[in-house]
Amino acid sequence: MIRILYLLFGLTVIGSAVAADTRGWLASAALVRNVPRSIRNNPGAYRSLYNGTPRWFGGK
Amino acid sequence: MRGPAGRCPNCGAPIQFRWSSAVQTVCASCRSVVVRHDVDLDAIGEISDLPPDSSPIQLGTEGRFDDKPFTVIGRIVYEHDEGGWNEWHLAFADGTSGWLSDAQAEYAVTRLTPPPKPLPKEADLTVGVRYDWPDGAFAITTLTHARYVGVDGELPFEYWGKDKMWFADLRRHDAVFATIDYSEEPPLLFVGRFVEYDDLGLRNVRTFEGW
Amino acid sequence: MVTNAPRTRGFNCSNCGAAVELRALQHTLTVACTSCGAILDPRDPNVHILQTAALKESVAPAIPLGTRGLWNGRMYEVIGFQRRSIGVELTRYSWDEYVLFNPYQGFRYLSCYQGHWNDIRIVHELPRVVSSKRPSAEYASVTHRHFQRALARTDLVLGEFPWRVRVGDEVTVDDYVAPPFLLSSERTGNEVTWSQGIYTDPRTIWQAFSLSGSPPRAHGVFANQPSPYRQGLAVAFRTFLVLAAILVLVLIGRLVTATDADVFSGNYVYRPGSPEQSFVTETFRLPHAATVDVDLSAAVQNGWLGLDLALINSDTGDAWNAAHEISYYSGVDSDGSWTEGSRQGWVRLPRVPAGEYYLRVEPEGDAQAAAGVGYTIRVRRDVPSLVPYGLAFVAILLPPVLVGWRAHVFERRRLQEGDYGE
Repeated sequence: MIRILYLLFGLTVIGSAVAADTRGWLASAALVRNVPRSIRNNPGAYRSLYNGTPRWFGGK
Repeated sequence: MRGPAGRCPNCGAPIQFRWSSAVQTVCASCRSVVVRHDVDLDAIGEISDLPPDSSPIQLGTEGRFDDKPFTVIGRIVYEHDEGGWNEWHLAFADGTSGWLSDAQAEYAVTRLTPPPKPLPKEADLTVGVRYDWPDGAFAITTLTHARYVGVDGELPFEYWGKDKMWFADLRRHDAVFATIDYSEEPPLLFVGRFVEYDDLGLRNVRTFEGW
Repeated sequence: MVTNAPRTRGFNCSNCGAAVELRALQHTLTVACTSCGAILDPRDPNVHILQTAALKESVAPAIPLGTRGLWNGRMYEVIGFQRRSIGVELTRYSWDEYVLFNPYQGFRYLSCYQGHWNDIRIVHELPRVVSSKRPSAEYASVTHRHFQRALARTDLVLGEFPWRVRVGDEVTVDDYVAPPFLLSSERTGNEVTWSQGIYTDPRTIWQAFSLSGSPPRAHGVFANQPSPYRQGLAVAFRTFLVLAAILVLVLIGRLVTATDADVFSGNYVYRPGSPEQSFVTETFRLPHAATVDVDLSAAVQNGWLGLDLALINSDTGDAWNAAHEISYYSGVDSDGSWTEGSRQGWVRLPRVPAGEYYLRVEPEGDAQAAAGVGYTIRVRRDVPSLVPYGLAFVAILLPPVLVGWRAHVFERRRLQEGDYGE
């Protein structure tokens, strides 16, 4: 009985390892949706999650 | 193997030796000890009643030891300070003789064996001493100072009114068991092994009320 | 003529007059009156008192004297009882022994210590004793390891014994164990008696002797008590090997089948001072859904370079964001040369769908980078990572380690009771 539970546990763990590897579960990356195509022309306008607002506003 | 027949010199009752090599027997009618010298029978005394005891074995019990059938034909009862035991004389189907000792329902079967080396002297006996015989390393485990309290049936030598004598028990690292009997000079060596009651396949044993 | 002894003989105790029963036919050498405890010689017609022992406490043996039961395939009767004890420091530890009798099979014994029961028989083979730091005794091809040596004292005697017993008798006892077996030697003077006991479930005793109620609960771990973890540990270990083998095979399979392909590579230079540092790369194709690894390397020297990355799907507009800082410092001080950090970096993105992608990069560095810092960005897909498999290995190792730990604790508790514990 314990043997079967241990086997099931082990196989689940191994399956999770494969999934974590192929699906990148251990990677952390924040997802932002609907980035407009215009960013390709104006990369600075992209609101980076890490920097908050763009650095340079230009102007006075 | 049946031995000669005759009449008890004391009371005239028929005596039949069941074993051809028997030297002594007890007349069932008058309890005389009868010794056989070739053809003649001599009565050398009377034996009193044996003390009550609880051995399940009796004269006429049959069994097997190492696939050899035997019949119990004789008995010697010993007593010492811490209790006593029975030595049952066995007649095997092939005519040889052996002994079944019964001490508090612990059983061992032994046979008279020529000593492989000179046996220790009675004065040298000490518990724990080891002897390296060709059969293996034996150690003395028990020394018993005992005397006869009675005999019955057919025995291979004369037993009559002897004093206390020493017995040395020796054991090996297996069930093999040996006894040195210092009642004679030179002492006698018996070698055999311990057996369980069930191993002997005993038939015609004594019954006990309530058991 | 030998008379057949009746089933029970009896007489009256010379000390107190109570009726004394004799059940072991003619084997009884010592009998203790159950009313007053006096030890009597049944062979003496005057029933001589051998030892007057006042019963200090009213003791009722768990199996009453005279009880019969089917034990080991034969009928046995309980004819005697004794309580013995050993002294450890200032405490005495007591156990009970029962004498069982059958006219054909002879005698055997049951012992009970704190609820642990043993079925004991005298052995005739001379065990082979090997001396060492922890001696062992071999009997019937089983090696028993020395557990304890103690002086056992007889404290209380009831009923019949086929040997001489007196209250106060002391014998040196050596216990050797090989669970479930307990091999004991009792030494008085030069003579040694060996016996072997088998650890027994008391429920079988209660059933055999038709005793009412339940047996008392066992406390602690006993010398020859079989470990309940032994079998479980063996099973757990074998199953672990199976799982570990599967894990290794799966890992090898993954390493072999992983694509691990370069998708994009670019070299850049960071020069501080420009107002707008961020840029986008050309697009590249990810043919299948897969995890994405971004490998970074920068030629920093005593400085740092931060890279803010976004992998953007040009079709769907989804962006995965990650950032990494590369820093590397080195120098020489009194201990020698030292380095801190690394010129390589690595970011892993989770599984992204197939499609056209580009990177949006925003670098940032410290003022040291005035001359310009060269760096490389390499995008790869479906790169296997060993970390999940390492974690999986630890996880499947946990159950056998847990069972092994409990087995170890059990054995330690066992040894505490003997001479070889802490």
